[in-house]
Amino acid sequence: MNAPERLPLPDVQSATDTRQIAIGRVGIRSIRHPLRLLAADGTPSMTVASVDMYVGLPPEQKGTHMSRFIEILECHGRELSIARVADMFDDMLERLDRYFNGTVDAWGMFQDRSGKVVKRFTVVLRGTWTGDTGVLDEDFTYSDGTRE
Amino acid sequence: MWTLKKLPGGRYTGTAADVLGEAQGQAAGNALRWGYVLKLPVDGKVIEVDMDDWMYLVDDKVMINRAQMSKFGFRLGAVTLSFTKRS
Repeated sequence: MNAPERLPLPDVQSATDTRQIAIGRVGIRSIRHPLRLLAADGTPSMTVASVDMYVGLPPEQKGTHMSRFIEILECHGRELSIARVADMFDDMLERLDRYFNGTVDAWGMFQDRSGKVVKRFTVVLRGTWTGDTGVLDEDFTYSDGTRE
Repeated sequence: MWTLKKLPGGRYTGTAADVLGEAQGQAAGNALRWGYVLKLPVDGKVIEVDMDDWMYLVDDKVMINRAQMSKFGFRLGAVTLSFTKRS
């Protein structure tokens, strides 16, 4: 109901770039960030990291959201290990794709034009992404017992 | 079952058995908007319904989905879904 007809600001970074020039790396250099480093044996030590965060840009894309790099750094908590760094790389790529890679449970309802709920259902979605192609399998169970 | 394809510029296309032609998706920030025509079975008949389908990623685990259904520009109803990703 509150879906905006158009998003308030144009998303320039996501715009298509007609110049067709790929850029090897774009990002932020020397971010000073406090963190706890987990050693292989699990013991933490406090330190201040200097972080460089870059992504490569394909020729058709105009830019990237650098504020999200900081967000990724912040939301990964205070403890960093080699495994967490690998997770961070995934995060820097598109999150929406990643969301549907795996199993997702959903609960939903259908309302008619007057707002009356006419159907309730649950869905189990199984998604697999291979490169730029994804397959999303949906298994619906309706509250009246029927399945699809 | 949906088959999705990621295109440059945050665009997506999708096909499914109950979708007429191709669904068009556009991502901006944490939102993904889909437009497509759904072949909806109603009382033994199949009607073609226009879908304006918005997906909002709330965090890594939770997504909210709101779709308006219309025919000839008239609102027929809405579908609301909440998604939780299994860890």
